[in-house]
Amino acid sequence: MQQHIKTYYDKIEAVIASRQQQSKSKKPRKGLLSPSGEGGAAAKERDQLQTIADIVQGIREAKEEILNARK
Amino acid sequence: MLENESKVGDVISNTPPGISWTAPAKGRPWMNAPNVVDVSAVAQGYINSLGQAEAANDILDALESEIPLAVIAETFMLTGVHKGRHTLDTGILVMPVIIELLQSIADFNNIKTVKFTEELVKGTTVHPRVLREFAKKVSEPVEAAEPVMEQEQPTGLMARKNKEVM
Repeated sequence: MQQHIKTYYDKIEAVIASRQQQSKSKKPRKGLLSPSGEGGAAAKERDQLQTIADIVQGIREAKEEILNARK
Repeated sequence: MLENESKVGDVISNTPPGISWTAPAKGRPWMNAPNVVDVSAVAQGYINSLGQAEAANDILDALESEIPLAVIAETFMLTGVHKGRHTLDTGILVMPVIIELLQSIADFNNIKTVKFTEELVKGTTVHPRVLREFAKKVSEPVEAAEPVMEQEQPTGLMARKNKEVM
């Protein structure tokens, strides 16, 4: 089970890293890659992954702020 | 009198062995529907519970014991499943949040921790899936290869030459 958790945790790390890199790029508005074209179980799984990545990123930012405020 | 006799007889004949060790249907918290279904709500619940001052000493004791954070987080998560707060699937989804919270608490208190066991970090362990495939390959019967007979090429003057296929 620990192996699966580590794989999942690495996936979350990759999502956060890619989000930081692609923060300035625009999302496609038309075509198959557009947000409206997505759907089904894959989109739901991605949403849950994004939600967890959001929370983890938020915890990290809050931790950095508190640690910086202490200095 | 007759009723009592029939009751005793029914109990003996109808009770399957080991029934006293089993719980009734939906008699355990994890057998019922979970209290929280939404992933973000489950994560919020762990953020609230781990942030309580009453739990701080116990969490710090666990962190100082140098147990990997993933193991402690798994214990928290399985406790939540045991109490019927959420399902196992939702708990696994929320595991990174618990690990990150524990890491933050450790950093605030200057406790050195590791997230995963050393074997997992170094990658010295083999994934169970790979092991299963390996065991499957090993257990397969090996077919003996048929011996290939080499034909001697005729070398005499009257020997026919092999035509090359274009």
